[in-house]
Amino acid sequence: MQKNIRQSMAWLHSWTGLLLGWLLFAIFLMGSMSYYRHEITMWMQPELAQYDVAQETALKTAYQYLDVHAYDAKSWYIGVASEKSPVNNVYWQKADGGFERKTLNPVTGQELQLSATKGGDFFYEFHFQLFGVPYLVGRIIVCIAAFIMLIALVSGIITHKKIFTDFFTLRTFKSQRSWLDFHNVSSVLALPFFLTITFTGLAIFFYIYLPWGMQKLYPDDPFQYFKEIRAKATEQTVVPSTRQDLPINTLLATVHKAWGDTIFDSVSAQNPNTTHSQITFTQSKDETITQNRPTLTLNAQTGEVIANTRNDSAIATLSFGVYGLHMATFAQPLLRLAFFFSGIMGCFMIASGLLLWSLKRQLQNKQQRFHFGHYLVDRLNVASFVGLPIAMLSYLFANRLTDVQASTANYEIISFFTVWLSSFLLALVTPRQLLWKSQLSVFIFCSISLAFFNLMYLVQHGYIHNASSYWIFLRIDLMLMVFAGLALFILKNIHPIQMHAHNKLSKKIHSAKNTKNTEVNAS
Amino acid sequence: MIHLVAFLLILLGMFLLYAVSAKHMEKTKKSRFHVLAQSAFITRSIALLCFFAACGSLTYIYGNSIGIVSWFIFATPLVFLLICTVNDLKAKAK
Repeated sequence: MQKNIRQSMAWLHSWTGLLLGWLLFAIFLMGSMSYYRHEITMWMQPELAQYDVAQETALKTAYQYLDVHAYDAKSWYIGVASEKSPVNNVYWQKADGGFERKTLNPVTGQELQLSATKGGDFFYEFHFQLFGVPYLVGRIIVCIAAFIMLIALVSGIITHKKIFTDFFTLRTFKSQRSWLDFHNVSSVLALPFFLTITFTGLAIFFYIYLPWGMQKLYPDDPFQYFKEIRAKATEQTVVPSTRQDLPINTLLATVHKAWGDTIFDSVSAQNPNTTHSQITFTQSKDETITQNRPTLTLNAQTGEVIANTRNDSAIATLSFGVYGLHMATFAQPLLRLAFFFSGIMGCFMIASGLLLWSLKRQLQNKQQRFHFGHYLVDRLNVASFVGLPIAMLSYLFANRLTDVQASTANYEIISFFTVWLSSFLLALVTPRQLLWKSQLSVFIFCSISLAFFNLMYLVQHGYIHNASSYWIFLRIDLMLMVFAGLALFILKNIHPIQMHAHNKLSKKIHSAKNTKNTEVNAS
Repeated sequence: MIHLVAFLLILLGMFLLYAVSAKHMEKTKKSRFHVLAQSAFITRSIALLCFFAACGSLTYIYGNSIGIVSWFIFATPLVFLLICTVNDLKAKAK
């Protein structure tokens, strides 16, 4: 029988969703966490919280450090200490082309030997390049997943017959219908977010799957594209000769004259201490989608203001817009929270879709015969939707229990993957009726105990001096409590939902048997 | 304050659309909001005006482009909240 377009799209939606649903769930969850990666890093490096940020001092000490340690470098970059990250992060490109990176004390300018934790950056990097595979392979896999997501979204829109009619409909405790309603509600409500985030995610990595344009234009170094998209290309015919730049105080005076008191995001220098030396100050304030933060570029030899070096071409603006929309760097705290909520809605959408797939097959399977595919999908669902959050908690727990140094193994990451794998193995041997209950209970216990354990740890190590110093940690703990509450809600309601589905299934099997018996008797 | 006004306008607009939605129209006619059902067109137009006003408030805070994006982003949790409120989510004892 020939299928119509909607049936074909429903088939495509189901199977593409199933194929990479678990990976997409992980990508969405990690992406949602990435909105708070700096906050997570602060939580995981409590020693950072002790620094009081005075940006003027921080900038001067970092500049002086680079002047001494990277005098002949090709370029400098100073991530100026701020509330988000209260230490100076400096990078420079050495004369031989290699890169060096240091974290500096914002007051003294001395190098800091911090814990080698990856902090929130682990979630961020996992979000777009996974872990344990070469970064290019990871990015290709994520691109394929994003492409599948886009297909699933479009086919889902075509499949959904009543987007507007059912917009406000959410029926609970009605087995398959409830899952479908929840899947529809979570999908439709945040649909603009999902389409934007998926498309921009794909567009950011265009150079991986459509590299030919860049290769054609820049045959020697395709990544020259990224240099040109950031700043206008300047022809340098004369080789720069060494000459000491103006002191930072003089340059800062010019900046203050132009901007008044301001909060800096970063300071970068091109050809420092040469006749072609340029220094660019960037404000922290970002009020545009195109990441067009106010910048001021000075000639570091004369202190004169140089015309804007940012590439303002249409293609560059589009490129910045794509990045800005995906990363939401412009989002203020409240808007950031709403972005986070939309990301979590994405997780709910994927989870409800996969659970619906599983439930639908169970109801269609009229014989109570063991089906390995359904068994595996059920276990993978639990290992992804509950096991992954437990693994993330174990990552945070490991941070408090171990001290990760650059020379030692990263026990935080090891515990993350060990716990995630254990969750899957445990799911394989757990009876179906205990599957969700067991892992949800572990999640709730870990979430609540982590908050208390964290408080004990902070008090013991003297990291809490007042309410504001505790708030840096408490905000993450509170978020964990909210998720523990949500898990508790699911745990309390999972039994009636399962019972309803089980009753429906039993009725169906019973009626099928009765029909068969009647047919046999009649013949 | 402007945020609060924008959120209330989004919620109000969504509630108006809910009140005159095909599935809920009959219930609205029998409820104290029956006046909304008298002219679905006018109710929908008012809802649209509420959305424009909310969008205007947000663009006042964030500027044009972020204001429009933030409308969609803020609407998601607000509408979810509304859906959870207007639907009966409790398990029915049989």
